[in-house]
Amino acid sequence: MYRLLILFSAFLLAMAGMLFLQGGETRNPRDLAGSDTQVEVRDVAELSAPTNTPAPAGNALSLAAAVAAAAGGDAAPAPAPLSADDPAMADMTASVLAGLGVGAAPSPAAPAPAGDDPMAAMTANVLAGLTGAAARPAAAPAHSDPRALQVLVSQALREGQSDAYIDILLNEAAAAGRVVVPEALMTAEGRVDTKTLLASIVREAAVAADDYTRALIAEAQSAGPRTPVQARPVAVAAPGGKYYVVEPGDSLAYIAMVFYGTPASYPRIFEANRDKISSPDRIRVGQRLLIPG
Amino acid sequence: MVRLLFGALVVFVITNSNALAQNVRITPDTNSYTIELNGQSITIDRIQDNNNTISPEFAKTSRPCPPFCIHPISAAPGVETIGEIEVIDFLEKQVAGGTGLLIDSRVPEWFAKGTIPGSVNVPFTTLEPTNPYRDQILQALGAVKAGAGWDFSRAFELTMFCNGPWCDQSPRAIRNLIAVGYPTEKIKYYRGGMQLWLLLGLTVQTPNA
Repeated sequence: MYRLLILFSAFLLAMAGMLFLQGGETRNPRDLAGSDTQVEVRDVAELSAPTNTPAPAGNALSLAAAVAAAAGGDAAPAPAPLSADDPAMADMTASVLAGLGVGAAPSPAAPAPAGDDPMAAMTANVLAGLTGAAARPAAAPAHSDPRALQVLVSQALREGQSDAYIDILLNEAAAAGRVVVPEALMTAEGRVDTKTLLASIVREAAVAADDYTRALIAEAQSAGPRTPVQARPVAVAAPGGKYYVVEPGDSLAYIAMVFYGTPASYPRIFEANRDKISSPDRIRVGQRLLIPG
Repeated sequence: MVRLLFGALVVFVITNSNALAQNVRITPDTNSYTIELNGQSITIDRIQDNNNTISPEFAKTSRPCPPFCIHPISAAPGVETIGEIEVIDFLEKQVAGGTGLLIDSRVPEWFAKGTIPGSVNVPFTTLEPTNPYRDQILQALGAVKAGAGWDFSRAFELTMFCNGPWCDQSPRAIRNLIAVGYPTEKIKYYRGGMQLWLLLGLTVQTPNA
């Protein structure tokens, strides 16, 4: 009898204790005074006159102009024109673009120099993000010149540009829709496989009779192999045949080159894997592709 | 004796039920979502600390209006307004399936501070008619030039958000898209934005270049 009473009171005590503990605790919000004032400044910058904040002042200026123009400019600003020449902004833009893997800001329609056109820079960032996110390529513009790709690459080669530069150039042009890149040359991440493209160009040019071209190739090859086809772990033999697992940076053209010696043989792999990939640019990292005999 | 043990068990369970209640799920039967996007895996779950509060940046109640006014539920006629569960569903189906994009309409500085996992940044300024390069963005969204106008039949489905119900940027972007002819049935408006997403303790992604 008494034991029951003790248990019951222990139960009540536990309940009371729990309720007490739950109700009491409060936490102070983290002390973010510094970032709070920063946000204040940004809020203001977004809707009115430029403040004395350092970079990204230039961006805020163009935003202020856009917002003020659209919202009817409530808090009277002195908006700088959209193409504010701001070296700090240009630096920031360049580093953002470099980080995103896009080179100097493009001049697609209007021939505006990179540092002067924040809208071009911002658009370039957007396109880089969209083509990264969108696994399928945007509908190719009907008017694009099919030879534009060759022209672009040969021009860059003639100028003696580095592989890295050509990679940036091609990706930016493909994202802007100015060149149409063969689907087999798109990597699993949606970028242009410049390595393989250059290798195939070199290979094709090797049979050309043109002295200039041969000299170009000789020079390029002396600078180092364009295709680092190392002895990587290749296809794994399985009961159904040879299988290769797609790695980051791979394109179907590259895989074809590894196994058949030429990127042009990619249709063999594509046909053998129709059930897995709907189009040659739709390979994904980690996919097991059958490599036919 | 047995009764004593049983009683002790009951007390034990009750005092520990607080620990069981710590589990903060998203829906009654889902703790988290893991979604494959372009070869990368993103996970969405919630902060598990029952005492967590939102950062002061997003705790403000009274930003100046205009321009930070309260927006109505509907961004534009024909555009569906959705909530967090629908955003996650959109990521799992349309975005992972390659037919949709989750768009953060804020400017890059805000995007960099933290955004919804799986979203892409298309600042509202780039969709203004004043952007001379807007056509390229429309093409990247899947629109095809058709005469003087655009063919949106292959365009992505978009879910657009910005900072919250007080933010004008995604409604503005939505109206600009509709003005060039983007089909309203292909646009959704996540009115809650980062304000609600953060208030519910959902996962935030800080994109690094």
